[in-house]
Amino acid sequence: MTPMLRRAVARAKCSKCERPAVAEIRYARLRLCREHFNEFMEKKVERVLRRVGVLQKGRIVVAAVSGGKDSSTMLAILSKLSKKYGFRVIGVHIVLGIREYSEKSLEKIQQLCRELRVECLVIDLERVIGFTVPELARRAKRPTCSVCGLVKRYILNAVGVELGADYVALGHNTDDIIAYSIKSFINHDITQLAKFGPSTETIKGVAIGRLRPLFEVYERESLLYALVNKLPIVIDECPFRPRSPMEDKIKEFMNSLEDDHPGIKLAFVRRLEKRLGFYKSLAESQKYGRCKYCGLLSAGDVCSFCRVTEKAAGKPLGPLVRSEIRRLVASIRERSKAP
Amino acid sequence: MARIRVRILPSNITREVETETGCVSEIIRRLGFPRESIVLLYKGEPLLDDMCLEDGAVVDAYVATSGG
Ligand SMILES: [Zn+2]
Ligand SMILES: [Zn+2]
Repeated sequence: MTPMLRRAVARAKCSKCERPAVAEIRYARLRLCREHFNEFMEKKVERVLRRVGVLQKGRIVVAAVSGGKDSSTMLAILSKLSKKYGFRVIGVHIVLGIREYSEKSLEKIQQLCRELRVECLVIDLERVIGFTVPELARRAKRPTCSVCGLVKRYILNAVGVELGADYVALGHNTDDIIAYSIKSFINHDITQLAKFGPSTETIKGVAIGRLRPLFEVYERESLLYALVNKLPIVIDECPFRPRSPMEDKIKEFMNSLEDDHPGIKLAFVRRLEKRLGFYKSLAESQKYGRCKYCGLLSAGDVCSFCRVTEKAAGKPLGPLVRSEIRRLVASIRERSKAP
Repeated sequence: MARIRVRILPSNITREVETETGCVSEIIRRLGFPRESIVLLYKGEPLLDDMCLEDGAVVDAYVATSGG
């Protein structure tokens, strides 16, 4: 055997202690053991939350959890920080009705919430409105992924409004944010960039601001966190995911850049955050109102959820969803009051 | 020469990669992914770039950019 092969699985030490390293952070020139990697990740999220003003007692964060690596990593870190700072985290999972994929996701989410001891709200779309996402898309004659996105946005916002939440936290990582940004450049729709910061603003009672705790967390780091902490996650992909979405190509390109220029992705999102004021000034002319059916945020008279469900079911289902969410939220309020 | 069996996730496709060194950076290069796009696991533990495996080793390769 060559000397090269005898090096098999020899593990370098952590840059901060004597334990074996499990993660290599090239842009920070660090090799970290599990404990120090976790600390590194939690500090990243903590810094973003501090800038946004979440690290305060009494704040309420609704965390959207899909069962995938990013939202699970996000929930695990939020749950740790919430105990340290006294804010409240409530996980929300939407059962979309995408066959086994949805079943597996729900199973993982229930396990995750139990392990982390985070209260989680499960909303089964079919049980609430009578249709799964694929059915809704078919009836509304719209692409499944676009209907799925709008259903999720609508329900998360409605839950946030009902809970009086300060933010709805999404599992978007650095790579996602860069991919969305570059897509906006490709489409010459750069006012969109105003929305891609670590947080967006709340319009009271109508729209809850979005929070991106993983703003400075690379996709690879998010995956590593889930793996080294053995979080229950779904590895499979949604069967409706396009085979080669533009985002994947952008991510691969950015990752080749990152290989040659470690830290370039972090620099991208940090510069984006610095320029948000500029992009917001470009976007200012867009005015929003309330949906005449459900009362939530809408660009026109009727919000897109009510419009799509009206097309699919013959009547707008926003009010039905809102009353069901009100009932669910009341039941978790009761539970948290119980001794 | 070290032949490494790589199970790529989430696609669940297994590929056999022939390498000079058996080292992680070479395995990833031969798989054709940017290093940043992938995490290699050996017996459930993530591998670092300069670690090397013996001929016949079986690893899992998680593609970070897929799923969510
Ligand atoms: Zn350490
Ligand atoms: Zn509406």
